[in-house]
Amino acid sequence: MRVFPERPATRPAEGPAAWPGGPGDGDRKSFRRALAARLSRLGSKAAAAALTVFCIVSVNFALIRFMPGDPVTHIVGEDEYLMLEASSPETIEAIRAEYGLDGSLPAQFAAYLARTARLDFGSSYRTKGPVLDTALRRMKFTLLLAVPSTALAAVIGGALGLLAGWRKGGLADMTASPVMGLLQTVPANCLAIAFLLLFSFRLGAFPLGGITEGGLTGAEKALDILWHMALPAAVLTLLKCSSDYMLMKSVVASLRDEEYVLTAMSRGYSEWRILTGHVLKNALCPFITSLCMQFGYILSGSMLVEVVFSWPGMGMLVHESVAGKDFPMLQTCFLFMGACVVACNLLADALVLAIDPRVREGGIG
Amino acid sequence: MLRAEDVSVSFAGGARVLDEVTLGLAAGRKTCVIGETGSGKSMLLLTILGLLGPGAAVSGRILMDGLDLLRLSPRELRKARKERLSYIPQGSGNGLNPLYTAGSQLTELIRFHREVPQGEAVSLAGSLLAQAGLDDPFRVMASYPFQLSGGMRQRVLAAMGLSGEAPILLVDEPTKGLDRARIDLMAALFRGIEGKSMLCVTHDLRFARQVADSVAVLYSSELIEEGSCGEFYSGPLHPYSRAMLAALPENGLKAEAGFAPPRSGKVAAGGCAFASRCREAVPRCLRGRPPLIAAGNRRVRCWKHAPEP
Ligand code: SF4
Repeated sequence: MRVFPERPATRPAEGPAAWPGGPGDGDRKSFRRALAARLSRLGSKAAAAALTVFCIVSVNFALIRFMPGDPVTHIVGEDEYLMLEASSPETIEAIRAEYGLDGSLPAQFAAYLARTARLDFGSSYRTKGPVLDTALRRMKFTLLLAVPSTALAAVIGGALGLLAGWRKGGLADMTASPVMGLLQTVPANCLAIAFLLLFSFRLGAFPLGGITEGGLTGAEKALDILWHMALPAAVLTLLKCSSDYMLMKSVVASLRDEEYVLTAMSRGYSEWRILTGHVLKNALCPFITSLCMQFGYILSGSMLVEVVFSWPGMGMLVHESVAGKDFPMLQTCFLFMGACVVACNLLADALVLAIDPRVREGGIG
Repeated sequence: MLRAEDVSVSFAGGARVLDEVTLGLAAGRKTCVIGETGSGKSMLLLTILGLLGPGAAVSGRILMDGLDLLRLSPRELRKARKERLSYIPQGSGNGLNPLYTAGSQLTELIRFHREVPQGEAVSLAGSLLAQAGLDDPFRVMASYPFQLSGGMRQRVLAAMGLSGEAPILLVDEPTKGLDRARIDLMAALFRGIEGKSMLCVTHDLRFARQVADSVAVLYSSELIEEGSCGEFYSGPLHPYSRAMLAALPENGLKAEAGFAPPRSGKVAAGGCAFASRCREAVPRCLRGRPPLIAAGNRRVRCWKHAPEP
């Protein structure tokens, strides 16, 4: 064997474009096969997700009906119920019909499913307005808070974790680890209250809560919203940042001993090249999976932060609805949150499928 | 060309993986380091490459062209790795990044060494893989590591190891997980490499015989015998080497000539490391650690070859 040919010796007639899996002519079939494998795996995941959503809907249905006592009690309140029972039982029946609580259970379930499919979630016990509008509006506010926080936390926590995991005992590790470790142990509401006390009460730099002063339009309104969301977003970012950091750090630290990383180092590649080219992509799969799962939970789990900053999001809505015994609203909130968790998991599966060829080809996973 | 002098490596837990190993690699020669699993032979390669990680305490010197590899700055070390040393990891392990195709990893390396456009790097990669004995190089290049067999991965890694200009090849267990026929093919591949020095770590005596010019035996982190391939296989000096060779199929699997079962009780520290399993041990073996004794062009660490005191 000659050590290295000075001139390229064999070049396929069609050139490198004809690799299997590539867009080359002769290999359309294998390309299509790979695509089909990918889609079928995603399809089975989606079916599982749909089943999960159906289960959430069913539990929602069952919950209120199998609670002790007449559901109408919860709608009108106990005093009112006792009064109505004595004075006009037909009112109770009317309410029962309005909320789909009459008839046999299977019939109720069928009707419930049909209404859910039409996204008709009924009206709130509390405000009497349609549940869907409120839930969607609140969801929007939560997303406004959650999406930037999650993204920012992922970038900061991920990047710091990458450096800290790569160089244990290095600068990033020594400075970030204690801070992140501390943040991990602080409950969300404590940090939120501390921020509120410090930045709003003491320094007066930020508003005490809410989303906007009202009466503003255009750019002014946008700025005002940004100003209002700064503190809750900072708290959420910090909290998420710490868990992203811890995760990325441990993933990278374990990848560091992988043979292909050692081999890449033996080639004389720069650490930057190894880190960004070889380690990062491998760390991304577990990171993305956890990120998407966390994002699902942040939609529901930012409740504590939302309540402290009176941010009118989903968490706040749940809080209010529990206090007001607003079952249709609660059911819808739970359905939305559940669906979000499921959707995020599905997104994680799709991303991992795109990154890791082993999952794609059915090797693992 | 490359010379390890009194290299000792131990880890924080106290485990000593190399004990004063002295070993030279001449230009253009192939040396096989033979040893069982755990004898420290793979550690030797990682030590040379400076890849042991912060937990390891290394002493001694590893000289290459007047440089001591153990005392280079990170920058110099990277340069040495790029230009002088080429590592070929085990094909049975994951020496290839699982998320990239074999082709993209090979072309990345080619373009790291020479400034060529992607298209030319692909052609070069194809011909390298063909030379490494792969029949369908372009299909291999489009495959991910998990889609390749151990033997194919080994060939890809060999091609990667040969893609640069590095004069020294460091090969780790190229036969692991392969059957006899594939080992023979692999031996032919490595035997055929010209113009490079090769330090190959293996537990396969037959493979070593097919490939090596000279042989070194590691036992329990010590170098116990070193010599030319011909002399070693026709007349091994160390009782351990003799036992290993006698147990080869072509030598009739003479297991009774092999090791005694380890004696109960630990051999007193300072004795010969092999004493507990040696059939030829004499009282002296337990008292002092034998030095490396020159015997002609060979060296052996056994009291039986020392002049009587
Ligand atoms: S020094 Fe003694 S115990 Fe050790 S190998 Fe030689 S004969 Fe055996």
